[in-house]
Amino acid sequence: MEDRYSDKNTQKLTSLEYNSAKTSRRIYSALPFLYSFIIILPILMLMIWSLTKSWPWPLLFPESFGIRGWKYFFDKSSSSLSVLSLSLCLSCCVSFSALLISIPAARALAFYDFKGKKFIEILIFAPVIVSPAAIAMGVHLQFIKWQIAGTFFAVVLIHTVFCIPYSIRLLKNAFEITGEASEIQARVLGANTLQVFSFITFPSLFPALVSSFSLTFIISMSQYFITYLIGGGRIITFSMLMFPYIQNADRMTGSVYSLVFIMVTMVFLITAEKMMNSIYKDKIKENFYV
Amino acid sequence: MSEISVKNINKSYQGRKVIDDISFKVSQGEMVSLLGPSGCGKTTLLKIIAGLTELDSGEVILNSRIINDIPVEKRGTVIVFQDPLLFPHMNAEQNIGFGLRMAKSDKAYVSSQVQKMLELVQLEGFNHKYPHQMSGGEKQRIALARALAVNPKVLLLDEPFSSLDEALRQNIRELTLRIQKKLGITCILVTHDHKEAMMLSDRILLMMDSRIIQQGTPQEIYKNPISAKAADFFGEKNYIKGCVKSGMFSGDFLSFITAKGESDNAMAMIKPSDIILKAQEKELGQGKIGIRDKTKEDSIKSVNDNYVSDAASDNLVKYISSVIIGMRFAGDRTYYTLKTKTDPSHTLKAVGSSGFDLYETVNIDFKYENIIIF
Repeated sequence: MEDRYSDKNTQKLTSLEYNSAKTSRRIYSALPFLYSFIIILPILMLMIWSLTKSWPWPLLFPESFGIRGWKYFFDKSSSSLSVLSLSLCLSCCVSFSALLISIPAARALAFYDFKGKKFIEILIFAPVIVSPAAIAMGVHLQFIKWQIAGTFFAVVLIHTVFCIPYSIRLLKNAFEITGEASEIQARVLGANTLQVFSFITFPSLFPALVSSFSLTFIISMSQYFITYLIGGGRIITFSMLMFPYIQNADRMTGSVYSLVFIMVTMVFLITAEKMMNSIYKDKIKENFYV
Repeated sequence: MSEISVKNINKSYQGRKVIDDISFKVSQGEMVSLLGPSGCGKTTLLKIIAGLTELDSGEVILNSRIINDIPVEKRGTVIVFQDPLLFPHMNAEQNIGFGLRMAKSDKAYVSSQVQKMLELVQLEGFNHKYPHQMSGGEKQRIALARALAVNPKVLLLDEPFSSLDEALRQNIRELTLRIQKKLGITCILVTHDHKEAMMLSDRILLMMDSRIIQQGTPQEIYKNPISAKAADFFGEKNYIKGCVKSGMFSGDFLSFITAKGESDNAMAMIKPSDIILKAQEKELGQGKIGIRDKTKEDSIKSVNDNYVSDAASDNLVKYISSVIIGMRFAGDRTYYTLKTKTDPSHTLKAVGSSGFDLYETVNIDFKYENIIIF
């Protein structure tokens, strides 16, 4: 009899455990939806505001709609499209230069042991640890000395400084995961340094390179203060153009600019991912970074 | 025709010597194994030959030319590692042809060489398969094909079979040996598996503590190990302390004639497979004896009262009475641990068929001609 009771208890316990696991699974599954909602809700609000002429309190829905914001955005006098092009161009330059510097640096940090490695790592991550404003001030003084302050090149340089810590961290991890073995194997088979990079390192790091490029692109696109400081008002980026509208409570125009900003970065990221998938689809299932 | 030799190679890492004055030569078409326990420096030596690790002093000579300063990609010494390291974004065809494409070989030649290599490793039709679509054995065969495709001067194998299961390992070992002999490639195999080294090699270089302690054919190394340490590497052994006087080894419970010179501190090494276990047939007095025909090699001399023989018959020789105190069944053989009755403090390891029981008293005999005295 006792045995039967103990069996029942065990069954009960198992059933309780099962229910608890089911509940946790439901909670975990709900989290992505919650997260999506947090992201989607503000975008939805931006979409509504970009077409809203007036929405006085305490009305639940907008009173009247209009396309003034969009009209202004596409109007030549606003220079929005030319500023957007300049921003895209600037961010692309920043991402490329950050990658060029980060690849060898990340490789060295991942594979080699050398004196002062820890110190150099801290130095590289300094722009993330120390206040950006303090670093930008110091760099600005140096740029004035070099007579490059207020130029496109100077803005690219300062953005690169702030993007490098992120791209190095990302690529260092990628190098550590992919390892050096494939490169060694390629060398043993007769590939020279350039061939090893083009045929082995680059393809195996490609997903990480795309991620790094996208991340630095967004970081660069979002910079406001350091662009303003180093560009001296002569280099106007999209975020600089957008800021006054948000500050002056022109919600309609501000929303249009914000939406364009989101769309541009989204299109950029999706294109990068599609490109990566088209190259590597079905080719890699294991021993690879993604 | 390629032959490779290394002369007085030395290498240290952070003050610790990993290669200590190593010299050897591998002739054209020879398969030589660098055999040794993990950490003895054999992989480092292979990497030095390939140019992947810089040496502190010494010379690597390929076809009478010192190649110390020649970069890895130009040496013509190709390594196949334990991990196949196939490039994941390339299919089998692209992997095999990689080295040739890097050398900017003619497309038609690359294609024909790839096909030839696929046939050689018996993977015809695998041209468009990616590494993730292959099994471990197939990957290792493609890695071998990739190494062979560039016509290496010397093929270096760094434990290439150790990640495979036993059946597959045996299969690929045989395939590798067949290909090596067919193409006549000079080959150096690094392994810690003595069976693998003995099965594949023309010659074995036994490495221990950063040095080559013995070299010779597999038979020479196995039958005449230079030291107890070298012998132990080829499996568990029994050691009996004693002395050699007037051409006779006298140990704790064993004496026999030997050609070894006089020594007060000698040690007889007996392989477990050289101990013969016999079921007891009759009991006499305090000891137990078995019966067998006396042969020419039988040189046993009784030195202990516990050996009891039937003196009436000249055909009887003496055995040592022992008790089985441990057994490990391993399929086609059984490993026994024995305690001799004459010297209970001494245990012996033996291997034989599974016809005995635990705690059974058996008679043991030795293959005296195989006993080595250090």
